[in-house]
Amino acid sequence: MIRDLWLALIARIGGLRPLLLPWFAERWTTFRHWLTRRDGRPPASTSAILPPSNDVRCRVFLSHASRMIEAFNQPLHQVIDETEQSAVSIIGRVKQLDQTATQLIEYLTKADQDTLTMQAQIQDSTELIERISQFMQQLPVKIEAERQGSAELVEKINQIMQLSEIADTIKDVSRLTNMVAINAAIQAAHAGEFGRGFAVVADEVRHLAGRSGTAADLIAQTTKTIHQAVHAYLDNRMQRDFTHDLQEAAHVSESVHQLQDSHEDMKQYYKTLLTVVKQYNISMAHEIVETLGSIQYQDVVRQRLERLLAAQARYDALLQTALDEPALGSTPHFRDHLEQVLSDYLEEESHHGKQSTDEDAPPMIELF
Amino acid sequence: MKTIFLVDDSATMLMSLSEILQKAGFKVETAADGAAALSQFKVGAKPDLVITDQNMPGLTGIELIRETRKLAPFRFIPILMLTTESQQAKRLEGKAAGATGWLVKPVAGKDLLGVIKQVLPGT
Repeated sequence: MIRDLWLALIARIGGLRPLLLPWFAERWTTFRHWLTRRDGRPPASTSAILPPSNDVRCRVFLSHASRMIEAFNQPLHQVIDETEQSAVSIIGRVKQLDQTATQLIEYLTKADQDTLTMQAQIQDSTELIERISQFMQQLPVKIEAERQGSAELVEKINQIMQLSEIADTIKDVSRLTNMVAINAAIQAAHAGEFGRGFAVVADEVRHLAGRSGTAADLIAQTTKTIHQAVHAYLDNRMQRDFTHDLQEAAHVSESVHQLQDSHEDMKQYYKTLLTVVKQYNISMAHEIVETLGSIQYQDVVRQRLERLLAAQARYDALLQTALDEPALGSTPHFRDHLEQVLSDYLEEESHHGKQSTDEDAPPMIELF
Repeated sequence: MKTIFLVDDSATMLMSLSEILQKAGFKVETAADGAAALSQFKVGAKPDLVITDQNMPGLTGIELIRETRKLAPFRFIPILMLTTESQQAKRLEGKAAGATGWLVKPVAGKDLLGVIKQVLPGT
């Protein structure tokens, strides 16, 4: 009957039955066996066999047991709360880590796809560089060829111009010859019949001089035409080459700008990539640090349970003493000892962790 | 690289704190109790900061601080107490022994690193 009441009392204290019930049940059984051994017969009921002193001692035990359970109850609930809080915190942080890692992988996968596009751009850039390189390589050869070609043309033009000078000389000779022929004709006329033959020759010479002059004019005109044609050709060619070179140069300039833009794009891309990866890493490092920090609860809980076990061991030792020496168990000292175990435990417990939400409570972090 | 010496009888504390501090760029040395830490200090270990627990087998944290402060190289090295003890009287005892600060477990990683930055300027 009393055992049932005691168990009901423990049950009402609640929450600790799985932990403490076996411990008290074992001691209750030991106590009953001790009574049986002492009286030499099994007890019909506890109230029937217990002398008044035992009854008092039983009430003392029960009263203290109840208070001890109450005292243990609070820190054990704290342990449950702390471990749960710690586990929830760790799970939350690991979840956050997982999300960050997933986002990072997604970002890197996208970046990997982007690099395929960039590979094509790099290929284009390489071709542009090759083209520019070829242009630059050909440029000195081209300049030298044009220089030589120009020198030859200048020489030919000079030769043509010399033809013009020859034509002028022929023209002068023709004019002088004409003058001489006219004079010869005049002289032949003065000579009369004797100069008739000479007059025919002078007339022929004048005709020859006229034809020479005409030929010289033709040569001069043709030379001038050739000269103009060569100049026109050279101008056209120079204009054509210049336009072509200008187009090539413009293309090279455009290619260089394209390369520059491409280089800037790539630089910006990798800068962004590194910044994003760095941010993810900072976030992950922060979560890892805080996850590791949450593991401190294990030490806090361990120490709380160690204090509880120490108090329980002292209580157990006292009960054992009471069982071994029944007379001692009825003394006021015994009750004082039981009280002492409880008050020592409660005081020790109050020295650890955050015990109060009071603003006057010492800070969790204090620098002296 | 600054060196931090951790003293704690809890293996989980030593492991978790070592990870936090190493990730923050510190070199970490450890001892599982006060006596082991003191012997290492006597044979030449010279950390820039000591972080110790209070309740350990053998020497307590406060006793370790008291003995450590007697060693000339450790006279001005910051020593932080990291413990579940929150009692004001115990803090004053620690301060009198030469503790630089008192931190009640559990301390968030960023808070711990913040305190270290305060006692180790330039980190």
